Amino acid sequence: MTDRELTQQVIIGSHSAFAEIVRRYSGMVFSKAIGVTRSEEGAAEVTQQTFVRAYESIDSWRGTELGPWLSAIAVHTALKLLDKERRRHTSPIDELKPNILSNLSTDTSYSDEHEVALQQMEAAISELSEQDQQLLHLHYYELKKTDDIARITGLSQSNVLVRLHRIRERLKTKLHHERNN
Amino acid sequence: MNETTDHDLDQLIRETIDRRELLADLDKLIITDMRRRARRASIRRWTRVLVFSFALPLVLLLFFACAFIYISEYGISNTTLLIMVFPTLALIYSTNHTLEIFSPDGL
Repeated sequence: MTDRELTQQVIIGSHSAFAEIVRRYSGMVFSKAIGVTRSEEGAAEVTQQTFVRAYESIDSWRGTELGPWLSAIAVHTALKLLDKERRRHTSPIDELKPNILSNLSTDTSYSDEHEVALQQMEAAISELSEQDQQLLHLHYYELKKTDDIARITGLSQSNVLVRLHRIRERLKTKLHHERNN
Repeated sequence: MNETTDHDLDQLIRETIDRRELLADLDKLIITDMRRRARRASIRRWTRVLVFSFALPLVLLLFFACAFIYISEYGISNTTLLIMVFPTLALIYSTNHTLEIFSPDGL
């Protein structure tokens, strides 16, 4: 379904169409937001506000793809949030605690290069089969041990190890290939 | 060197999976919020319909009934008219405001 069709569905009251828009673009909006706010909490807040604003004014959207429109809203919302934060922190400067000042000046949790790498990795993982994605989820997110993963997936322990190794190799090659391109 | 690369790769995979989970939670939060807003908007719309259908006619009826009782009791005088000017103006204003809410844009 195209973006235009989805928005028409949203206008006539379809919640599932809006859910599809959120699923389609939340990653992109979050990535855009983290580029401005440089923090995951800020980016999450901006992402939420972006979709709320988009929902409220979706009937005024005239275009073919929602991406650029949502990006513009996200950047605008993120800048407003930063401005609000700055104003809050720039009242009497003497009263600012030293740790707040250091947080403002040296936030090293974000870099453009790292964000690009995350997006490339996300694209590479999306191309894996459902079962391989499940293996990654169990291993890296749920931090399950090999025997637990084997029990959950119905594979043998050695098979789990071999498959995880192969997945890692495939992702490494894919990432290397992307970077060279 | 190779070990560091493997460590970086593991770290990157972990962060990507974490990001996925965060986005999945965020998606749920956004959709829940959107549904709540839609529900509230619907309740507001129906409340307005109820107010327009029942409360406004009731107020009008009460006003005219009171005016009728008062006039039939005391008759029409300049004082009566003067006293009625203010509630009449308030009534005209609130009726007009309510009608504006229900009128389509541009009409």
